Amino acid sequence: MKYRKVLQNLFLIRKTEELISKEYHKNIFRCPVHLSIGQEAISAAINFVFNSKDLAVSSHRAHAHYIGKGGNIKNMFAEILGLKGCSGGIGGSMHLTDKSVGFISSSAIVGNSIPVGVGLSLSQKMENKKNLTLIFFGDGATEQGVFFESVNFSALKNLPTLFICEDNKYSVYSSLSVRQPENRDILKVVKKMGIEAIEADGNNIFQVIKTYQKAKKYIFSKKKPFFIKFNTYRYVEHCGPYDDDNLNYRPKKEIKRWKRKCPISFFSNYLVKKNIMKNKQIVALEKEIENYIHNLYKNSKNYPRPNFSTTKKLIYNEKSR
Amino acid sequence: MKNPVKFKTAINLALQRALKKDKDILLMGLGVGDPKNIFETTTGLQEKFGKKRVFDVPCSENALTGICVGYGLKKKAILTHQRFDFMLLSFDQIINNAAKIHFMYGGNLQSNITIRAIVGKGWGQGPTHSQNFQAMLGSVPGLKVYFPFNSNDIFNILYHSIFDPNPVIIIEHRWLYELESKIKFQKKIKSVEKVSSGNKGTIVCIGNTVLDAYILKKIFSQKKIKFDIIKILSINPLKVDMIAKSVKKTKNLILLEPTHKSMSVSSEILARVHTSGVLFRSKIISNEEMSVPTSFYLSDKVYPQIKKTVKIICNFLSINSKFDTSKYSYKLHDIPNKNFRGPF
Ligand SMILES: Cc1ncc(C[n+]2csc(CCOP(=O)(O)OP(=O)(O)O)c2C)c(N)n1
Ligand SMILES: [Mg+2]
Repeated sequence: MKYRKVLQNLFLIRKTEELISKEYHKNIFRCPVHLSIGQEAISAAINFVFNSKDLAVSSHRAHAHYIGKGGNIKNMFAEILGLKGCSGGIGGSMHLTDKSVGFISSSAIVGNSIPVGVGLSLSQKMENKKNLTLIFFGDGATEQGVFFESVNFSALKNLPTLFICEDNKYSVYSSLSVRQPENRDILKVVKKMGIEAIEADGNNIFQVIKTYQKAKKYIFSKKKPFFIKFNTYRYVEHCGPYDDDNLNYRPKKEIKRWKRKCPISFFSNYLVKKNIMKNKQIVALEKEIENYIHNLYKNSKNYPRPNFSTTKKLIYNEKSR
Repeated sequence: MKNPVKFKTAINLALQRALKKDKDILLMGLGVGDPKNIFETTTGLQEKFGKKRVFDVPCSENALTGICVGYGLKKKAILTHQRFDFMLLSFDQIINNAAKIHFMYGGNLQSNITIRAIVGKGWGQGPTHSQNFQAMLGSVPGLKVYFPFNSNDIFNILYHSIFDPNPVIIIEHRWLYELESKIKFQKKIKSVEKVSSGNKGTIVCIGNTVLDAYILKKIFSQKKIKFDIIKILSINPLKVDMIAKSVKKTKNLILLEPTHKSMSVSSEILARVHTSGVLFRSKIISNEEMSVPTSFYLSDKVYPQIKKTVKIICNFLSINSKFDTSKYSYKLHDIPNKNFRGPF
């Protein structure tokens, strides 16, 4: 395993999100942001199992998936700054794209991108190549009808779809208890619909990688879709850069327990304990990535502002075929 | 009770009054009862009326609308969406069920459902958090659609809608929530209201553009220019008699459209006044014909800014356009005022 590379990926996401969080009060990121601090491992593992021909779609909380898939971070910063970034400044934080690495799209409407991902995997099946589509969504999205309709279709047509639910237990401020019956087990539900499903610790990157490998093998050997539920937790507010634990919608004990399970400290501790890296080296790498991200951010500020009349020309695709 | 009250408080008061009057009314929606309580409109209601009647829901807009339609066949339900955009998931239930249930079953059924849909603006709400398809809803027979402007409008519209045996959609604009005005219980909802008088022209406004109309009134008063200002409250059904009557006098019709021009409520009003036989000139002031981009550097050009609006009107009326608009133009077009910190 490329330990240093794994740690690097984790830091890339954490440092990007922290930078947005730290800079947000300056009111230069003038759009809603949904940060993935605490949920990084699920995205940091992507590129150790999947390649750029494998496609991905995501939800409103998409920064981590975009970066994990190898998306251009400068273009993303520019997009959130309202400059001519990855979506021309039109989409903002919730509508990211980087086709060059297979990160197709993310959507601000809960559940909206799930069938789109299934459609992408349908196209992959038609091409008969060994590629699949990763669909990232939250626990809340599994309450939408379109989720079940998409699972049903993917199972019916035996598509190379990998459904990835990041179960962070909350939809905005709403806990699972007000949204789902107590013993609803999404794994059992999708299994009964004909899709193999497993659950894993989303804060343990070893487990994440192993689960992805298992899923990939299954999808290509059995020619069927696969469903993963990663248990994880978000560390800052649902939308925005700050901690909102003062609102008391999440039990203090629960927050504490999950903060002890930080995916980055978990992995760093492992590296130190196993003598793979020294603490000093880890701190140095963290600093190095932090500087790297800071530079990308600085450069992204030089992107041009989007031009209104060229933006307006994008409403229809006027290119002749 | 303190009166005037804020728009958001008026919502809360109307809901309280209704929930108190009929013990079978349910109030639900994503975020009802959470710490922010739909921008403070449902604050305290769960404590007062219990979790059985006032509750948060799963992310299932379409099913929940149908569930409310079903409940509304027997009793009364209120459903809230923090964005109009989220309500789009439920257009099947709204249009194929709620709107035609009374008609389609020969007048034997009715569903008593009230849906609140909040329109977002500013801070990069972008293409999927700032939409208002009021005209689309306006085209659905059997549906009632209101777009209140001030506290008194929303208080009365919401209260009476809850008891209306027809399905009602109430469009609320997020930027009106902090505005204060006096509320007074009315026996009936007004569907259109003249809020100012003048001869220079007729300004028609809806929802958030009523605010613009009031600003225009102040700006034009600098040269003692006065307009008839007519506030549309009901989009469906839409009544234009009052507008036609005013235009007959002023001969100039200016429509402040809250969305874009194509297939809009304003173009509908224009057509209807025209066919009523009155001769007049007209101008629609609206958003650009496009979804609203997220970028701060683009969104200012999509929404009509007040300075430009004044210029357009002066041009239209062939009058000198020297007016002081500085007091009403913020450098930051994406926030309602400089003290506003969200949530949006
Ligand atoms: C159809 C729709 N309903 C409601 C919302 C408002 N909303 C935005 S994110 C979100 C929470 C979704 O929770 P989950 O799927 O668990 O994702 P998480 O935010 O936890 O990552 C909600 C309700 C929306 N964007 N779209
Ligand atoms: Mg969640």
